[in-house]
Amino acid sequence: MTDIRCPICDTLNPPDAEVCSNCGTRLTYLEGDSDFIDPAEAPELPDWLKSYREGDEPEPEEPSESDDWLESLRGAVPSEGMEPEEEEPAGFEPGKPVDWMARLANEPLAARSFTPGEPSGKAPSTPEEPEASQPEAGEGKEQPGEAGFARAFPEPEGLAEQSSAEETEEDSTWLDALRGGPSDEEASPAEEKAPEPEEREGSEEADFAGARVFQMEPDPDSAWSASAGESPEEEAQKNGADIPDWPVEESGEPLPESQPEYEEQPEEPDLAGELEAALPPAVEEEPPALEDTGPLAGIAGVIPGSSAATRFTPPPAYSSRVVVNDKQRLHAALLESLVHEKVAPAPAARERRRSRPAGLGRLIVGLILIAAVLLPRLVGPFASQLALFPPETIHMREAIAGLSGSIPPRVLVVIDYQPAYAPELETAAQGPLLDLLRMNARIAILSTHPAGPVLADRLLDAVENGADAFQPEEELVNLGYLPGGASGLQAFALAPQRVIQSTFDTHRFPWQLPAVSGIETIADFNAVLVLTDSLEGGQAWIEQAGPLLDGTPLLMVASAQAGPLLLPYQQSGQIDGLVSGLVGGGYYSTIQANPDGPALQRLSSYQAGLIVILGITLLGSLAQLAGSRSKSTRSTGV
Amino acid sequence: MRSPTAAVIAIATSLLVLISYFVPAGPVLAMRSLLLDWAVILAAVAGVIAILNMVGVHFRRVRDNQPLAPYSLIVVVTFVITLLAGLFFSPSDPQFRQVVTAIQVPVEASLLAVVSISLAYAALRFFQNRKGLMAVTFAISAVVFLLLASGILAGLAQVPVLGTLLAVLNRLPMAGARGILLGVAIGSLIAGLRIAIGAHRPYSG
Repeated sequence: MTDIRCPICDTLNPPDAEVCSNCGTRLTYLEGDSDFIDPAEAPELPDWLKSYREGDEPEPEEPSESDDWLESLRGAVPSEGMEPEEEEPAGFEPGKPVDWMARLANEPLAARSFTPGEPSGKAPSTPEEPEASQPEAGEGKEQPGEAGFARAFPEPEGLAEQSSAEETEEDSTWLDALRGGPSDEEASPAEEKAPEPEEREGSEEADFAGARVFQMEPDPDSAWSASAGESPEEEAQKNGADIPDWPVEESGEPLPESQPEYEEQPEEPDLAGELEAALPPAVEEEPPALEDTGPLAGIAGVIPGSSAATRFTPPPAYSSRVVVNDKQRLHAALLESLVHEKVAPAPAARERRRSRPAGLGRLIVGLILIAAVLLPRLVGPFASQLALFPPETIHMREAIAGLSGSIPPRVLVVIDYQPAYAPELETAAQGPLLDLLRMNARIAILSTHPAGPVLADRLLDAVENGADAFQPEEELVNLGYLPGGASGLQAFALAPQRVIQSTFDTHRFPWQLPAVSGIETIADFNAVLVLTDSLEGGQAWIEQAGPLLDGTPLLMVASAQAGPLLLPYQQSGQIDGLVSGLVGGGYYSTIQANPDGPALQRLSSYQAGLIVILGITLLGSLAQLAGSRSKSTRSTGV
Repeated sequence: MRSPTAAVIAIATSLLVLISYFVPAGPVLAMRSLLLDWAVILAAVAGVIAILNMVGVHFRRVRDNQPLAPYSLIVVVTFVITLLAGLFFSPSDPQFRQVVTAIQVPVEASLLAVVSISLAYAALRFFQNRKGLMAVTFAISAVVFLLLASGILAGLAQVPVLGTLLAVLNRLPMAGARGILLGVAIGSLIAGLRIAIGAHRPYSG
């Protein structure tokens, strides 16, 4: 196994070393490296490649001491402990300038290729920079960086001599060109003959110098130009530079006519002239005019008002006359007549005259009504002259009289009215109920209104006074309230014992009491008397219970409001008898031959009050009519 | 409640009750009686719910101090007193009956009388403000039928011409009532049929 040379620092390392002992570079491939190929597994290489590789990879040799170039380099390197600053460049002697420096000292300053922007003497950033910087370093003005660089990398002696010789030659070349003017070869255009590298360097230097000259301000007092005693253009021409046209144009100064080179090249286009022609003409600014009139007279730069005023003319006058046709003129006249038409003001309403307080009249009317209602109570009923009885009342009377055949008759009385209608319906129903009680009928009271059971007691209390033989404990049963409306009514009609399970006052099972014993359906009653204040209540009984009555008479006592609407049912035979309101009760009392009955008394009061109301209304209407007529007579003056 | 189950139940129930009128057989009648009992119980529960709702509305008015709060307070207090009295005495107690006979009947009857006076005054104002053929017709008809319904003109029924005229006038209200009843009957029939066939579902909200 041979030692491994580090590819970075050329340090020989043991064969089993993985990293360089000097720089740490890895010397062996890692497993899995795709670039690593095991030599044992590598395919067999052709002979030429093997020989090439064998030749390419020679056996490492021990560094021989006979290496001339290495020795020369090592000889140029100072020995250890020697400071690099103490080493002098080749050909440099302390206290004695080098030859090129001496030449530079004798050379005019204008001939140096320094940029005008760097008056401190810094060399331009041109390819000749090393040559320009080295003399400065030799003058003891080297920069810190440059000194460090020189200390770190001192040039070998041979190289230093060679470099110094070349620099001397180049310096002498371009300096000679500056002194003696361009040679024939250098003065020729670049396109005609490609310059040699050395010549091209001199040409580039001349180009740079020429360009720099055109960028400089022409200052005859400047040391750059005064030292030469010639213009920059002449100097550049002497250096053989190919001066372009644009710097001349940019500087704004025409080229001197003493340049025969530009005149002798007619094939080149006059770009400056074309650009000059393409530019817009320059506007010459006029000096501010002095105001000669007005309060600003004598002041420059004011707006010339007098001259502007004279330039404008008054606006043209347009005609304001509107073209109107005949139709439009007619409409305008009509509108004008409407506007100016005089409207007669309406006369102011006169203040209403209050003769007496309004409450007094109302009080008088009220007192009259009360007196009319109470009059029958004082003088007796006067409505007994009812001669023609309505048929429904007669049928009611006949139906109740027909119950006398069944002893004792069982009658279902239904309370289907609100407390507000109690006075009317109690009065109207007293006649039929009195007949029933007088024949010792068994009365079962059913209410379809929540207050009905109490109203039923109130009703019977009023009737019992006329029926001395009536025994409520045996002949009367209050079944209470039946909820459910028409559905409840239907259910009761089908099976009364299943719907009503308790009496209202005694809370007993009612269907074993003498009044309703043996009742299975509604048809088992001998009659059904419905006291109702509405059409809907009467209709419910007609429609729900009527088909199940099976011949049992259905009698009704209705209010004056519902009577006329229930009358058709009586006329069609769905109701066997009907008493409608106070008038119907009065008729029934008349038929009953009970002139002292409450129905006739209240009917008389009702009729008296109604007559008074109609009389007052008629009188009031006539008075208002007379008053309005008198107003119209006064207003018209007739 | 747009449930088809509710519609099926409603249609089946209505058809069953309707069939029971035409075919009064035993099972059908028994089923109808059962359904009607349920309806009565539900109606009673609905009455209780209505009472609680009324009390709740007035109680909220009192709590929120709304403009009619004093009246609502009277309603709530009266309801509580009546309820407690009914529970303590029972509705059949003679003392408790006085609540109806001594308070409710006079108050409601007086309110009804005031309503009749208000209607008469409104008719008079209508005649004053809207003078025209219809107003005159309304006023004349109101006066005539008040007189006829009161029985004041009953003594004139034996007069040959006036008797015939009064008989004709007495027929006019009945003619109008028959027209109203026919309209109501037809409307009720159509509404029942719509519910029976499911075209109208008031139970679905």
